[in-house]
Amino acid sequence: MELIPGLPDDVAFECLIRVPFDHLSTAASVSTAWKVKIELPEFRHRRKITGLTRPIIVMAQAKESHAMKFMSMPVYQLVVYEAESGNWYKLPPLPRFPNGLPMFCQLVGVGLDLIIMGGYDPVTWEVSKSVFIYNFISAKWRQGVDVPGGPRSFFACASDSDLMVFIAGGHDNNKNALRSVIMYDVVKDAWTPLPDMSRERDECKGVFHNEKFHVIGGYDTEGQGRFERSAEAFDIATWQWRDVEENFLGIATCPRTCVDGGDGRLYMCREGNVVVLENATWQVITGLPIEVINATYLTRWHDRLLVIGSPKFGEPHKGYVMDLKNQRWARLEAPEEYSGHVQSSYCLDI
Amino acid sequence: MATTTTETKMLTLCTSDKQQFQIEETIALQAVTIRNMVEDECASNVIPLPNVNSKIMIQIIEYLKKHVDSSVSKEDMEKFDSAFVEKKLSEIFDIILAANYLNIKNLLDICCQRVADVMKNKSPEWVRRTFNIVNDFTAEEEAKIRKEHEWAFEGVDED
Repeated sequence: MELIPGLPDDVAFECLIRVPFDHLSTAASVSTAWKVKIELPEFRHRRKITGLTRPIIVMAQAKESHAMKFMSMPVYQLVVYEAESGNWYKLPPLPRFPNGLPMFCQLVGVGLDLIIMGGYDPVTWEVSKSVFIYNFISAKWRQGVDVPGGPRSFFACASDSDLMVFIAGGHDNNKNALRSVIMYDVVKDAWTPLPDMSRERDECKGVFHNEKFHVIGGYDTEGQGRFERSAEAFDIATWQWRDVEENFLGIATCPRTCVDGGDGRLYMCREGNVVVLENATWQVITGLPIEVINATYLTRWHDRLLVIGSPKFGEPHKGYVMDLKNQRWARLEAPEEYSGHVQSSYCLDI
Repeated sequence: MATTTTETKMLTLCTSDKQQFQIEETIALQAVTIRNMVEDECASNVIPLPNVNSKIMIQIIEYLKKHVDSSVSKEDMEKFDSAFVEKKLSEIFDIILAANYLNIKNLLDICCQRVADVMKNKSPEWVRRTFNIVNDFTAEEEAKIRKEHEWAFEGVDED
């Protein structure tokens, strides 16, 4: 059956990829042929190449920013910021966590799906092994196969944006740092173990960069909080870990803000600056605005870096966006209700 | 007024209904298919375009004439484009087929965008009727999709 009667299928496909993001759901309900096409990875690729995708930034954000001051446990929710329209809105709560996200859960995007895993149940404080997947076309949650193995928290998590999610390290229920690594195929809903890392890495950072899964920093069981400088990368093509880069970070620091810049380079915030990795050394690009000098999270979309941070620990969080082309900063205007602390964030191109 | 005697090179296009259009070569060459024919020298003075009728050809020439003019500002060009695609869907389809055959990428792009924009704020039923698409979901699938996509059925225009 033709996609659109009267038009060749390749041209009809060109029409379909131009349907605005918030109307794709309707288009997917027109016929089985349309539904199949819209759900193809190729569909999203064509949109991306043609410049039709839009950055959708998802954040795990505390509900009330002022609650932090009273030391009560903040409640986290998923908030979406559409960078181009400037719209903010909430995503529906997770099926099993109606009263707030698992604390310190990780979020990554794969295709048209947002994946939430890990973290602690905000009521029982047990480690969550559930995998939740939110589809931006159907606007619904589904649950994937649980994270295999024992409870794991504070692991590195990254995706290749198209198909796979990687998790590495973290610690078990006895606070033993882990070396193990697993990979989740979102389409097949299946987990595959990867070879272990060279060492234990608790509170390490995962970054998908140059077609490799990088696990950066962290510390071993003995180290407890003393961050180390090394990093290692898993090459999917050869199915092997590359040699450890011992002095990758240059200084012993928390690697949490490390991100891929989309320009073949890695960026992070440290010591009040935005730094970039060039020729194996981290070089300062520019200083952080004072309102976000205590940077907690960095997210990249297109050639923009979003820094979430506060002037001092415990003070309200703000966002600043830097244009990578000219290093200019612009304050992120967020309505009051979307100004809470951000634990984790990811940008999907949809 | 130009006093040079340099002749503007002209091409003759012959449409499916045997109408002949004399246009400047620079205008015609924006169509990659015509450019290839001219470059390969497989075209004589008259270029046959058996897939395009004269009614559509007139509109395509109007588009090409505007787009060859480098003095038109980006803003004005966008205005022209958005006014150009304000046509009935059946006419847009004819232009798409011609633009696809003649390989005029920009024209194809704006027409495809027009088709996509027609679907804004419309229900799936409306889209099916408008594009003459058969609903091949089973009743069961349909109910499931309706449930999954509830939000897509909210706030649509009246059919």
